[in-house]
Amino acid sequence: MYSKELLKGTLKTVIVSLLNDGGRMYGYEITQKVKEVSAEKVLLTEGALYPMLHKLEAEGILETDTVQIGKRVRKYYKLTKSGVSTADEMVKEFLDFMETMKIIVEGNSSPQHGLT
Amino acid sequence: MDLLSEKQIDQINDSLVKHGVGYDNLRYDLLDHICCMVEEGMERGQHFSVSLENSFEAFGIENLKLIQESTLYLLNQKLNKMKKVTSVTGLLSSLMVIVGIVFKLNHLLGAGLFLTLGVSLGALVTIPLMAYMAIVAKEDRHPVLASLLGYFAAITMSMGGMFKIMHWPYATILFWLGLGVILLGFMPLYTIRSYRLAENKIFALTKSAMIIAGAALLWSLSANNPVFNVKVADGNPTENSRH
Repeated sequence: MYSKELLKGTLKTVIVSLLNDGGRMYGYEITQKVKEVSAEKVLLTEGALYPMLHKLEAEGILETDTVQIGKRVRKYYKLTKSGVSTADEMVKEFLDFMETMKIIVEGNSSPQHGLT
Repeated sequence: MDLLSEKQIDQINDSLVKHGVGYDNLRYDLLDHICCMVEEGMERGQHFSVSLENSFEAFGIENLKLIQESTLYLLNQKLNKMKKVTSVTGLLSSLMVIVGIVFKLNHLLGAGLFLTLGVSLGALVTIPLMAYMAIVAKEDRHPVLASLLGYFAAITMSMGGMFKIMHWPYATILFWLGLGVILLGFMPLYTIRSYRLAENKIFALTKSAMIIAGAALLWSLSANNPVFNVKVADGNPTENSRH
């Protein structure tokens, strides 16, 4: 499992990436999906997930549908129209960031480092 | 997967409320989340009470209130910053106006500068910010139109007062416009709402009557006060000759 420090700042990107295929998901489903696709290397805590979902909803990136299940309400989160383009930009920026980080980290750990 | 009875869902919901999750929109999320966890445990053969205990343990029951705090903090981040700016500018504006008035009464140099800066800061920054928070961020329980009129009157009256003291044109128009908006726009809306909501109708009407009397007093003072009643080039040269 990756450290919290490493995952900090990626939560927004993780959420919008999962919802970027036009689907809708509820909170528990998101945590399970992330756990599954990351082979349990990334575990989303509820304490981080729900504040972020609500923030993204307030910012107009996400919207919710509610479904009554027995006596409880299930809130499905999905990207808004403007949220789709925001999500694309965020994912693109994140991929670019990862490439840059790779260059920095690999460059610094190579044996030639500091010789030129 | 729908294993929980209504009574069991109520029990989980009560626990959430008991542990400080009062924000409904978040509680729906957490209730569903914990129900899913409990149901998963029950599917593995656990009894409801065991699964519930395990779920709360995994969730960290002491974290429930923290999740709500984090959520509200993130949601109100912009508003909290705005409140800080409003408080600082409001305090600064009041301080400058007080210093300006003291300087003015003692005929000291810089009175005009303090008054102009103080009132301008209050009228052009603090009051519009207060109006934004009250109307757009829905911090105010009054009807939108009443709030709009009230804040507009506050801006025009404070600017009018400053213009009068500084002997600038259009002072009377600004001051009277603000007073007119309060008496003819804000007060009727305020009175109707107070009357409708009040348990003691007479008390609600008395409050409104006292505010109107206060405004009328201010009106008469402004008409007779030598500080306000100066000859100004605002297109009303006969104003002073009335008294």
